[in-house]
Amino acid sequence: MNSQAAQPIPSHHHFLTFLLEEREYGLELFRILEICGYAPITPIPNLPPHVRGVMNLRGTVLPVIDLRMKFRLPQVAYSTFTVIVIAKVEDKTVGLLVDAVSDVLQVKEDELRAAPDFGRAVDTAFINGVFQTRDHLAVALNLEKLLSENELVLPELPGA
Amino acid sequence: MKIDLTQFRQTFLQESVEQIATMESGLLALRSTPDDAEILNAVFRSAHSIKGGAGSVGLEALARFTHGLENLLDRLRSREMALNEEIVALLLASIDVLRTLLAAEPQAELTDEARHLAERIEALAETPMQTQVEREAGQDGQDSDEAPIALYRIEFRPDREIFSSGTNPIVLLRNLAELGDVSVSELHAENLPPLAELDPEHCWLGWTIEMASSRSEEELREVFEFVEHLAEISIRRMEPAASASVDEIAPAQGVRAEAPAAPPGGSAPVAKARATPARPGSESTSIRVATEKVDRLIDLVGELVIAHVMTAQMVEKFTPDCLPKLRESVAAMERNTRELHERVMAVRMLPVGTLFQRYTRTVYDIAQATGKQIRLEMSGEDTEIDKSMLEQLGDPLTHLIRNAADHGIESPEARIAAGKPAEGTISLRAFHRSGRVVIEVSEDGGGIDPALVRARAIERGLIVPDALLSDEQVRMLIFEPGFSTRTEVSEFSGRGVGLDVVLQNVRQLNGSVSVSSETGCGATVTIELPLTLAILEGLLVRVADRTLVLPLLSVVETVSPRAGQIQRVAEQGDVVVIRNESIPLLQLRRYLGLASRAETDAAARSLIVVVEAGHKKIGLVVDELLGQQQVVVKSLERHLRKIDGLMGATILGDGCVAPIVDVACLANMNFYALEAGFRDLRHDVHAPGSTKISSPSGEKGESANAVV
Repeated sequence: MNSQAAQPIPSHHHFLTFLLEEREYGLELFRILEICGYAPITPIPNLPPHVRGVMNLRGTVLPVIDLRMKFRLPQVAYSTFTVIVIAKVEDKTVGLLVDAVSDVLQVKEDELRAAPDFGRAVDTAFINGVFQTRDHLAVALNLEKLLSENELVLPELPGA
Repeated sequence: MKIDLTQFRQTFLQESVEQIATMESGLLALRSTPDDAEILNAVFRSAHSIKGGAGSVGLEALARFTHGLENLLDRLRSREMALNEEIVALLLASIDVLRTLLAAEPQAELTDEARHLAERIEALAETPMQTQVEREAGQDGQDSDEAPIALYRIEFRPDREIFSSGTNPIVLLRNLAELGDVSVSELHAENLPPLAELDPEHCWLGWTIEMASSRSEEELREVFEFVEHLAEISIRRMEPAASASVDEIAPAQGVRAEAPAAPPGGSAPVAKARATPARPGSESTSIRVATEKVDRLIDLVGELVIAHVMTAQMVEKFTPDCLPKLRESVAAMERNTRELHERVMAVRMLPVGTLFQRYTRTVYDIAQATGKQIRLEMSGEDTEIDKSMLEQLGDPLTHLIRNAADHGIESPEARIAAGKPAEGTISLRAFHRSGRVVIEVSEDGGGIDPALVRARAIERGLIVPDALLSDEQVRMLIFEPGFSTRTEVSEFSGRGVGLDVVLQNVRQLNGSVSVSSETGCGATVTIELPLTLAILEGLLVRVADRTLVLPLLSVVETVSPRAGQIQRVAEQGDVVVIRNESIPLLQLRRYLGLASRAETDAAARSLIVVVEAGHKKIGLVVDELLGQQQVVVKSLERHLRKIDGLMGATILGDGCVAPIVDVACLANMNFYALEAGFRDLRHDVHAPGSTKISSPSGEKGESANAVV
């Protein structure tokens, strides 16, 4: 990670890209705290199904969100290869279950395009834009919107 | 070097808050025992300390005001004046002024009201015989010419360590200079070591000052009062023979102006710095801890380190016959850790007395304003409680006390008519009961009439007219938001206004509230709280493949039910009959969202843990008891949100997270769902306690799970 990551130049975005069902997604790099392997998840009642429960990250209890379920993708069994991306959303920290982490990319402002219509598979409200990676078109996710739906973790955004 | 008064001022403010509290409670105590010299002395000492402190941190208005107060107190103390109600009222009013001054900007001047008060105090202090001219002269804070001017030679040699007590010698000298005209100021720098060896945290200097002053020797000595043990001080009165010539004094003032590091008029930059620190209201982010508590902690950590080293060595050279020894040292570590836990928690514990004190005043004010006669009795002030809980209890108790004084206690005439003593009593008690802290507010007034409460609740739309509620449940309605009565609103409290705060705050602290009352004989509100929020003794249970923690303190018993002991009531839910008591059952499987078809059968095969919250018992159906363990409570709200029925989560020995059940919340969900006729009321009547804290979507979850 270079110093640009800490202080993003306006014309560049840094993304961590990861895979879900062969499709690539991106999260702004500055949100990512760490990437860890699969840890036991304790289910918690009264939460939407894609919040799988909570995990222990060195003494802190964090919610874990299954992005496959959130995007209504087919379920796969969690294995030792499952990866949890620990990310910051506003003042909270959450774990995101993804298939695999692929890359850290620098994307120029003009390479980040508005979200096309993905149809039913992905709700475009959570999408900041799309950008080209080596062999995919990656989707830049908006975590605030993603996690404020149903007051999952964050209070609902006005108009979200 | 610039002297930063700000941090001293902060300390001073903190201490003054305590001093003022001492004064206030002392004054209120003096009303009943006006001759108690001990209390009067304590009040005087507090006033004196505030004055001294205020002067040295540059809060002049405060110092001046306290000075007058101190004179009055001194007269009282020396029996030149007798204490009466008028003086007490005046002194109490002046305590309010002190509070305002402490909260105000340092350079703030007295308000007109305060100035008026100061004049009255001064008038009172001066009225009787003018015997002590000297003292009177000192009172005005000005040099009056009547007093003879004497020459003093003052030697002030501070200890090297003086800085560590937070004393600034320059400030002392400046204060001294204000008492007269300094003619000679001599600096003793002979002890000053070479620069390389100079420790800037030590004071190497001493001073000899010659000054002309109209003040007495004692008054000059007073300047050094707080450093007497930290310095060599000698004050000698010199022979008046060589009466100080005026021309000698004039240049000396130059010396004086030079001596202080900050210019005397330099309070402006200080004022700027002062604007930032927290106001007294928002203070209290620090804890004062007794040194012995800290020492014990250090000891414990030491033992822990040793135990760790021992264990590590054994692991290093491990042979099978070491095993018993290894077990032993692990056990020692466990003991240490547990004790360390307890001690660290104890650091956060404060006696409730610090909170109780302020209510004497609340009651006094209400009694004065309403013409009632009210006595506040307190007991168990030493009971310790977690600091953060203590802070959150302030408001609820204020509301309860106001309510009791304003509405509970009747007027003297009404009391006599009812055959009770004219003076009403409010008692505030704190004590431990089965590992919980109980705080009781009771009054011997008219009590809470369930019929009136019911009528009002129906009128306010809080319950439906034919709701089946016990008297106790009806009385609990006074804690519902919106249960207020315009007709009875007064300056202090309208019954019900703010009482919902009581329930809300206490529930947030994982506590419970209950009311008992006998119409005509008064009422008692009982608040029960856990000792601390951060750690609890838990009972680990297994439900399906999940591990849950139940707070052990709320567990009454565990039962493995016989056939027929579980009964279905009105197709609504199951109850277990234990010793002729029907206890509603809650399937934890259901709560966890785990499907289970034949629930009654399952319950018959499993265990029932009977838990109690407030005065409600419920039976939780679990599969297995796993054991008992101390658990550290971790917040779920921090990164997720408040979950109905859970007070948090903990991390078990294997690193997994286990949810901790909030028994009070479960009890409320279940209880109201159980009884027919309550279902529609549930959200209006009692659910607020459980739903308010939670989010709207949590409420949906509740209705899905609550129907057993």
